[in-house]
Amino acid sequence: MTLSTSMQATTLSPRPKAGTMDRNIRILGAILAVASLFAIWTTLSITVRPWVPTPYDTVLAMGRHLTSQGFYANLFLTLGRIAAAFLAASVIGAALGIAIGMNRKVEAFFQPLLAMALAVPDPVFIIFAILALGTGEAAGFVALTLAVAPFVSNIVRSSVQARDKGLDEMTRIYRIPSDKAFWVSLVPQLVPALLTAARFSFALSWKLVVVVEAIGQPDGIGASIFHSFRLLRMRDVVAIAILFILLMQLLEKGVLGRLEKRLLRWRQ
Amino acid sequence: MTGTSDTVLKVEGLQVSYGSIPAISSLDFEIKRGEFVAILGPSGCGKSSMLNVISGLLPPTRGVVEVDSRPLYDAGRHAPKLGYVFQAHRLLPWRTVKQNLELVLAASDVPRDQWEDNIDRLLDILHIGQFKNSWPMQLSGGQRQRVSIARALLVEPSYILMDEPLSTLDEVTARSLRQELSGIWARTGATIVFVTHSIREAVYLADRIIILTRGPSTVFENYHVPIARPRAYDDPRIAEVEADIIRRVEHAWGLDPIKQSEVA
Amino acid sequence: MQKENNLIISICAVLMLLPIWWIAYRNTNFIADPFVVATALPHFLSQADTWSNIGITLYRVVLGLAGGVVLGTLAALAMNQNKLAEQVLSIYVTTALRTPSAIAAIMALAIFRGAEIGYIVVVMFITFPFMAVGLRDGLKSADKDLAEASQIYRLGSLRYIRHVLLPFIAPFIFSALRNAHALAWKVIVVAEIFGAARIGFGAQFDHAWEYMQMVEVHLWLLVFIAIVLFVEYGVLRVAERRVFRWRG
Repeated sequence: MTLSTSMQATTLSPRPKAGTMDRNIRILGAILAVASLFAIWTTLSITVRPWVPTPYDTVLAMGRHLTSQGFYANLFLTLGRIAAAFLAASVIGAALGIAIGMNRKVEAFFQPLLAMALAVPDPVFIIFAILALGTGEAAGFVALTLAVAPFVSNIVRSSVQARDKGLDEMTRIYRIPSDKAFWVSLVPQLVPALLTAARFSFALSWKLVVVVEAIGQPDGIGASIFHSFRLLRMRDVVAIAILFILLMQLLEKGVLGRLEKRLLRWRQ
Repeated sequence: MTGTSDTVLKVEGLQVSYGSIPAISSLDFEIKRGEFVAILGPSGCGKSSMLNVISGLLPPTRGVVEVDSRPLYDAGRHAPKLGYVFQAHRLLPWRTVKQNLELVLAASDVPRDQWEDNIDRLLDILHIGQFKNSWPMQLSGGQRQRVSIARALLVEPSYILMDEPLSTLDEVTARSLRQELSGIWARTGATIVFVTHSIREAVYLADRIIILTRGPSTVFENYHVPIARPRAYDDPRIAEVEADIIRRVEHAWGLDPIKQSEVA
Repeated sequence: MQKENNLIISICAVLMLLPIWWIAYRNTNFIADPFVVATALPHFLSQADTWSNIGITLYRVVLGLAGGVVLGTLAALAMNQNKLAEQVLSIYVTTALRTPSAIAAIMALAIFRGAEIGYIVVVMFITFPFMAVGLRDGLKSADKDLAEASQIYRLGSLRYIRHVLLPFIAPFIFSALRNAHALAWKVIVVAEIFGAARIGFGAQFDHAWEYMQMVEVHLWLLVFIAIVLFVEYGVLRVAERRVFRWRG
């Protein structure tokens, strides 16, 4: 199973050129989309009452959570888990992807194992990690890392294999030591793929952390969503979910977007 | 039989094959210090195999490739310094012109306190002094190739290999660069091995042209260009020599199919 | 020669898992004995119950994926036709992309209250944005690259679609389909566990785990991995290779 680099496009919203025509269409489109989503939601909240909360109730619940300490405590806990797994999966996946991309034998060894790892359902990783490590922080961290790293590895590998071999020849001919050539020639070529992988790794980490916390943690955003669900407080389920998703979206755009601009300056 | 001290590159009995497929069957030639030699071959003459071997990227299947009387391939720390101007510029696009040049200098024997002066001098010779701090993407194709030539000269190489460096440029740019190339060669005394498909280019630039046969290749002829320098690209004598070479190689390189049937 | 060596390495890598499994079994109390699992496998595979559970999960995946493909294709076509539609739909796509599958599963359970359609809708909802984005990118680059060719040769629109457009966007379709397929299997298990399904792979797995029937857990896991890998490498990639055989 290879969720390939074509997914990078899925993380980027279309950015049309700024003409007034285009801007009007964008604003109109956004209004239409939000209005229609709102209409669907309202309809559902009426037809499937009380299982789908009304938008009004949900907004009230969002306000309540935004002013409660418990929400922030859970949020920071979850953010910490995301950050740890995101970093570990990105570093391990990138290192593995580079090794696989550079060497056919390493590829032959790891590729079937990665294919199998990608076919394992995420809850299985979580449950086995809990069995092996108990219900502490380590289990969630290991499960998330195992679930995310193979995706990162696949994205980085295909970029390594598509590298400019001409630059490899150039560095060999000019006798540039291979460790230096790695940092000045190969790594910069991988930057776009590494950024894509980072975006992907981040998105996957925060989406999976909900599953991890729901199954194996007493606290965190995922646990509080699932806890509310058990008590059938659907407005809290939806409110926390929306707040969490929006925050993660902001984080991705803010941090990763800025990083991307900095690292790809030379492309102007 | 060792080459005399002014022999830079010695190729003897060179054979290159991939599995059982021969690319070069038997190649012998020598390049002397300060020579400008063109290597001319038909397409499919094993040109890239030869380039890979005489640049030290690929070991010879059989035979000797020596630079300054030492084997070239896998020479380790004592490996001779080479310059290479590729068909594409092969500059690192995320490094400025200066940073690209410093990269190869760091791997050369040139002492650090001379880097700045050497870079400035060569960029001036190549008329790209004002682009020292530009990124490669900001330059034109011809300017990038100038940087690439500067890079090759900077490392004070035993010789410089040029693999059709002008073939991707438009003819006007190629012409001016071609003209400058002979000037640069005269000023720096560099040893240049220039691989090309263009007979006229070879005649205009080189003292001597090594003509190869169609692959698996051998040397067909060592042709000395009998025209004094400086030369003009439109000089009728160049056209005459070009015609002479075409006459000689027509049989060796194979006629096109229609003519062959006429001969039969 | 090189290829054969690499194949041997690949086989060794997979076989290496067996001793690791055995060592893990000896040193933990939750990894089942590989020999016991191996001996239980024939019986497990001969039971109708096993296959009805696999069948129901497969049914959900296939229908959900089919729905996702249809929905995604329609969205991509609309996005390619009209700027306003593109703007509206891209917000829908982003919304779907940004919804964790566990939350989608909970909401489906709330809305459909355990009805079969709920699981199908979850798979559809999670996979459709991948189809939509992949296909839209294909259509976009087709517009750029093929516009002139179709004008010069004055092809009729049907023939244009059949002989020019489809071959051009086929790689995009396959890559999007592979992504959607991989995701569908990941999502269905989460949907079955969180959506309190009574049958299906996720339900069985959850059940076996709750009662600590570790041999069962291993059996289900093995069968699941085998099916996913079979569909990916035995069906999708084979079809892809057939379609692209002209590439040599």
